[in-house]
Amino acid sequence: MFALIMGEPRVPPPTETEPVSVWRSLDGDIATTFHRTAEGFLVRFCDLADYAIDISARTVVCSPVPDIDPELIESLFANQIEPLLRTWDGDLVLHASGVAIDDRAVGFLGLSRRGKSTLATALARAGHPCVTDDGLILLRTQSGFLAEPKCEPLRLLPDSEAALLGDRSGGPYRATKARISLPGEIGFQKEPIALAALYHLCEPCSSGLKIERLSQSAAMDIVLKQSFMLDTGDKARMRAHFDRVAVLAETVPVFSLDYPRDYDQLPNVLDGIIAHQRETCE
Amino acid sequence: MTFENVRLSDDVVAREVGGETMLLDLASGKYFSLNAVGGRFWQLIDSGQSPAQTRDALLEEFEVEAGQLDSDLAALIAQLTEAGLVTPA
Repeated sequence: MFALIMGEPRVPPPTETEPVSVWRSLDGDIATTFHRTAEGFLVRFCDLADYAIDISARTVVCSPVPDIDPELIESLFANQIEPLLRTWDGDLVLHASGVAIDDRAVGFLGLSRRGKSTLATALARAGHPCVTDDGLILLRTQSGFLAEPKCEPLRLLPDSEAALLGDRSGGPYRATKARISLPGEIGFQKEPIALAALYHLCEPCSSGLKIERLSQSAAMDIVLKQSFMLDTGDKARMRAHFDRVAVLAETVPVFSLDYPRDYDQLPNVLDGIIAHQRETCE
Repeated sequence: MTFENVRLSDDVVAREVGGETMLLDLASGKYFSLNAVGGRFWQLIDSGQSPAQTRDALLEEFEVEAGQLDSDLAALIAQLTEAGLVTPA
């Protein structure tokens, strides 16, 4: 485990090195940059915070911009930095949410704002324990992959929160996700659980629920795109990562999931996913 | 580059998955996929077959005319070269 240490708030200065890799927003703007340092890495979430990772000391020092919401600092650490660090230790981590259906894990992977958290929250409220809201950690075993549960608070965008919680949603207007509190309504998976399937939330095109199995090569392509990797320049780790993703694509079915983003139809979508999962496992 | 002097980059990892060959370029972090013919081409060259032996093997294994195969291989090598996955021998 890496420990998070809070540093002094500051406006992040320019870094001395060019980023070794970047993450971009849906608009194509650079949202996060990755830099190598003498101690390990610096991960910069633009306009939000720097996380300086000391690999040997296994510490992460956060330097946020002034007046940032402390909840966002913790959320970035839990949902972005910790998954990245797990890849350094050799685990496979996907940009995915997950729930347990009939004691098997299913993951929902895809780009931001495609509905990963909404599906996980809605399925969890329907009695299927939440495995994770984001950063699905997969442990490779001799018989397949286990999904490691993460009991972090669920986070939703305002429209999802309003649709799922109704009158209980609230708080100030915001454009970003916020934690939701549903004591007693959502169960969390306690132990690692076998991964049964992955669903890729594709661009909505269909007026109804449409699920299709992807070829293994298409599955590998999608999983590579939707996986965390701290150091894409580390050839040994990249080679191992590539191999893990190939094994995943060969052993776990991956489906494209197309459904209308219409909250009124969400109950039917959930029923369809559950039924599909049960058919797949028969 | 011609078909006579092709050489695979040392920085590329290949993995056959579901009938296609996935390539990871460790130098750039980019990945690519090859269809069955392209994947077999890669596999034969990687196993030490000469380009001429590879061409002959592909002619035997796939239902394709020699002229069409030469044209396809030239296009494939041009794409692989542009992507930095093969280099001059």
